[in-house]
Amino acid sequence: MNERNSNLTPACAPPVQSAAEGIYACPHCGAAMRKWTTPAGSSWGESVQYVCFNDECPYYARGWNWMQSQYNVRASYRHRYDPLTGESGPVPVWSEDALKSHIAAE
Amino acid sequence: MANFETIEVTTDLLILGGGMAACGAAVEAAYWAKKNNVKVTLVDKAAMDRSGAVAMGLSAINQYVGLKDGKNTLKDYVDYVRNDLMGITREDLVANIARHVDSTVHLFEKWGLPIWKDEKGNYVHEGRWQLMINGESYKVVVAEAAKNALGMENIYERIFIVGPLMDGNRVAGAVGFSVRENKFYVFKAKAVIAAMGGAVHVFKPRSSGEGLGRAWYPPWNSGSSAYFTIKAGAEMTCQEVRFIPVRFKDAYGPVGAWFLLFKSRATNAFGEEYMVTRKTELDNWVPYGHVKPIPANLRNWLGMMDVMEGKGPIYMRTEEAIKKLSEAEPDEKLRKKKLKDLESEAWEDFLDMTISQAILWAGTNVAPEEKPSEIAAAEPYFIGSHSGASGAWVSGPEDLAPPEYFWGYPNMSTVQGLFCAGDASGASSHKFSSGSHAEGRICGKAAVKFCVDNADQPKIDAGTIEKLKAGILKPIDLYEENKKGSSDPDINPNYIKPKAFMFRLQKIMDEYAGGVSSQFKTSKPLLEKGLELLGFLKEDSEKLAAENLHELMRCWENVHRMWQAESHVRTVMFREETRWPGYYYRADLPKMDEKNWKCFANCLWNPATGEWKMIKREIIPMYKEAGDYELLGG
Repeated sequence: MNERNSNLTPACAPPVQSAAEGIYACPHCGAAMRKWTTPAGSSWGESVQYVCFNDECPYYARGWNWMQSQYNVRASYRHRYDPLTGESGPVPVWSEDALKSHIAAE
Repeated sequence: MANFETIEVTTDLLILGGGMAACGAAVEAAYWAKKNNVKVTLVDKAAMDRSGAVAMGLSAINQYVGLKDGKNTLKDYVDYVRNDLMGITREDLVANIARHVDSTVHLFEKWGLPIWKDEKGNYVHEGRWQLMINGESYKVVVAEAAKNALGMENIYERIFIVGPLMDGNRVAGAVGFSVRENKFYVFKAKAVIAAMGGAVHVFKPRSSGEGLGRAWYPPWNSGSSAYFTIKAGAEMTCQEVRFIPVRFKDAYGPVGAWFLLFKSRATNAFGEEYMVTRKTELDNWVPYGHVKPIPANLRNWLGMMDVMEGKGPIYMRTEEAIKKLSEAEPDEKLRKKKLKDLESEAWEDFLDMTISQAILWAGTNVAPEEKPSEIAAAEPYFIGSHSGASGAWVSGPEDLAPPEYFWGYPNMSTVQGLFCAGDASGASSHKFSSGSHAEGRICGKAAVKFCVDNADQPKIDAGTIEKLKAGILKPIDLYEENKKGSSDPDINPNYIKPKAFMFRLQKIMDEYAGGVSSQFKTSKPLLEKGLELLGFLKEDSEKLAAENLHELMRCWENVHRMWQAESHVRTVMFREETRWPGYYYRADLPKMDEKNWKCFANCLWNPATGEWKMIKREIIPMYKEAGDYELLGG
């Protein structure tokens, strides 16, 4: 059986600035990630995750061209982090505003 | 008897179906067959490029576990499936698929399927188990690999398989006919993989009249897997677990994007949000009611409660969502542009997946930015690969299955040599497209091994084949003998046409077994009456008549549906509780009975006596019971 790997690469493991306050920094731009409630009906399971909603984040900004050139789609992605499992990765967005309506109060 | 040429094909392993599971079986079996000098033959009702539920394409792969990258464990996936199915899951089967599914997805990518990755090569996930894809040619890509592996000379397309050939309790092949020319086919084999999909149109659909045929699940999936395995004498499981998806009403448009991307609310006609107002109802279904994500059937159930109280229609508040999103833009000029963009996205959501929903919007003057659209629970489907669980009771893998669940070959049914994958195997749901392919691969390897270990060809006498041929072609003979008995070929005192037969089946199931018009409710007296009427229908199935090859196929499709229906009614009656209230509700037994019914409800039809037997099977978990952590979705 494979067990969850806790040795995540730096790109996948945002440094915890203050675990007590639950503030996480985006590994791509350093901005504070925002608390994000996962949409009902999705399979994310956990009720709260963290997403980098910095529109200047180079990872997100470059993503538009990357997705267009690689997959011919008008989409990008933002960095997402699940504090419960330590798992993180790109979550797709189709507009600058996508997912922002799920930002929860800190 | 109708003049049909008999074509006989002798092979070692026979794969029945052309969808994702069959394609998985083909590529894997071809590999092991070459090493062991085994001949593999595949028979498909349609053409492999576009057969099966994935035919139209998908925008995501729904099962990817990410074991290699440490994203999830097998237990994580088992927990997810077990919770969604209210505890009724063969954990060994789910884990076996889960540990193979990632490699199947990697094969898809190798074969040319574009799977979205970021600039660093990480898969772009839409959900915990979902990968985004450019999937309009998903099935074509997967079929091409299967065809290359087997060789087109070993693939028979446009042949409808009716039923099994048997040698005692060992499967010996299959019989069917071409849907293009007058040819009766006899396939003799040492082992058979059943992968012919689930069933639609067993229940009366919401779409009727000019909308007839529209459904969430492909209308050509008519229960052939269940019929084949039941008639072979295989023990079946979870035949009570049908699946009911919530969709935009009447055209079955997807609701996911509206919930996930637009953050739209679903409310009743009075603006109440049933997922909020009915939240305490979830306490009645613990521990599963407290799981996140909330099981699909319980989400359905909260909405159904509103409908049953007369608070419908249920609406997706598209106008509200679009307004809220556009108003977030303070600049008026930009706001107008944004509104236009949102309108385009709203239409595109349907145009790239369910064009008919866009047509319905246009036909009913729905502008999503101006008024809400109705959503509704669809009619029930039998689909063991998605969020249902019906199918054959199959052996688990040696290293994961307890002795009670293991009988020599992974995914072999209780019939010797008969293997099942995808919608054909039960109690291991949430396989979706990738898991079905992975399970097909598991079957392919195991079935080749069976052929090597059982090298003798099963015995079938010529008389049996002639009898089967006469029975299968009988609807054509009946039509020819009686067609002059009335002025309308569809109405005749001596026969029944397949369409009318289907309507009768659907009426029985709808009204007595908990379909749409009875608000998914049933009870023991209703089921007993339904079973009585199904008995009459079975008698009348002897009078099915076909004007041509197409109708002959329709006749047998409906016989297949009828057997799926009977196994369903018998199993719902056997399970004396309500466990999946959003799929069906036993009005006479409205509570979940965890003590007595946290078990598998199986059924078995005896080919020798024609009698049904109901069986309780114990749930033997691979993992400890889910703790609080798992129940929170961890």
